Amino acid sequence: MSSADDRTLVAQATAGDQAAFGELVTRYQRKVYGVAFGMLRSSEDAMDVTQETFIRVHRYLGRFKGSSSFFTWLYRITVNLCIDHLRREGKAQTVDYDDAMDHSEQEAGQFLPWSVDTDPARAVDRKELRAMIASALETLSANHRAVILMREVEGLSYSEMAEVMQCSKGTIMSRLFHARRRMQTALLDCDESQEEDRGVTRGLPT
Amino acid sequence: MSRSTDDTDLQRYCDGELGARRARQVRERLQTDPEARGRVEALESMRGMLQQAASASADEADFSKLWGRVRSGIEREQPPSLSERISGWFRRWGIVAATATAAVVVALAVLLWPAGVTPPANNDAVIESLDVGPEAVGTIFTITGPKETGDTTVIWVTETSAEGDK
Repeated sequence: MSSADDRTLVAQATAGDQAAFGELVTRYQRKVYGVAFGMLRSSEDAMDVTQETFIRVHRYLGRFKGSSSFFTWLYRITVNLCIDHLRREGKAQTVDYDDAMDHSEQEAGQFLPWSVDTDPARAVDRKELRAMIASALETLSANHRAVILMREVEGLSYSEMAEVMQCSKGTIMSRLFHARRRMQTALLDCDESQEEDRGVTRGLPT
Repeated sequence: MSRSTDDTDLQRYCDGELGARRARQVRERLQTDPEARGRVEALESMRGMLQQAASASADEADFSKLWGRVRSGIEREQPPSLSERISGWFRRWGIVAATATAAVVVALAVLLWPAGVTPPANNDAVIESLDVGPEAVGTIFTITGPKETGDTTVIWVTETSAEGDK
């Protein structure tokens, strides 16, 4: 569905058309929930944040000027609510030392030439995969979780993410780099410990 | 090219954020550099894992009640209108107390209407329906009065039965 259609629905919803707003909710509920679940790791909390996101969207519909696309505005509200939620729970680590490109760390750690599911014999099942992803995401700060989910799951561009996070594209690239690097390390640790549990010894490809 | 620039380029290549010329250069390099290709494949593999995990989580979520919950939340945020506030009062206190109150309001309006004040024209009255539950029909009359006395509000409640109005 194009953003023009979103704008039409937003205009109708702003004029009080509840059915139009219901259509927006139906259209974006999975995406909002996906980001919220990725950040909060709890289906109940994610559903609460999804609900609150749409209530806030409705409350501020009159302030949406259409200068940005509806979904970047929607994601901004979602991510902010998730960060607030994590702060309330005392789990938020939002200030990243690596918001500016830190080349020394990048020198030390490049992306890893590793893939967990290239070998069909080792392919993890869905449940195992989700557990690995969950524990890997746990190692990331809220900002890192947000960028990696928006990029990898939702496919947002750097410009769109910069709009959502209200920061520069350079900051987005830096966060994304570190988020990916940490995710890879965490997934690798997780995969290795699972293999040890199975009694398998396997070296990393070099 | 330093490793950091290299990885930044690989990341931007994977994300479709490189310009056409630079993207072509990276593509050519990937054909001859298995190490760089391995790193790109790793990024793509992680993307696939994240997408699968997100999709599985969303598949398990129950969205059937979400719209109802959102609508209730929106309604809670909007201040109730006068008729909604009165309806709530009626629901809370019951039809008998409400009817008695309505009768008192009507009686006071008649008794206290000041002599010599010109009654308002008929078309000055605002009539609203009032939801007082299934057992009665309610109407609110708001009569615009002169500056000295202000407006007068009359609430009229008629009890109903299955056969019709009483």
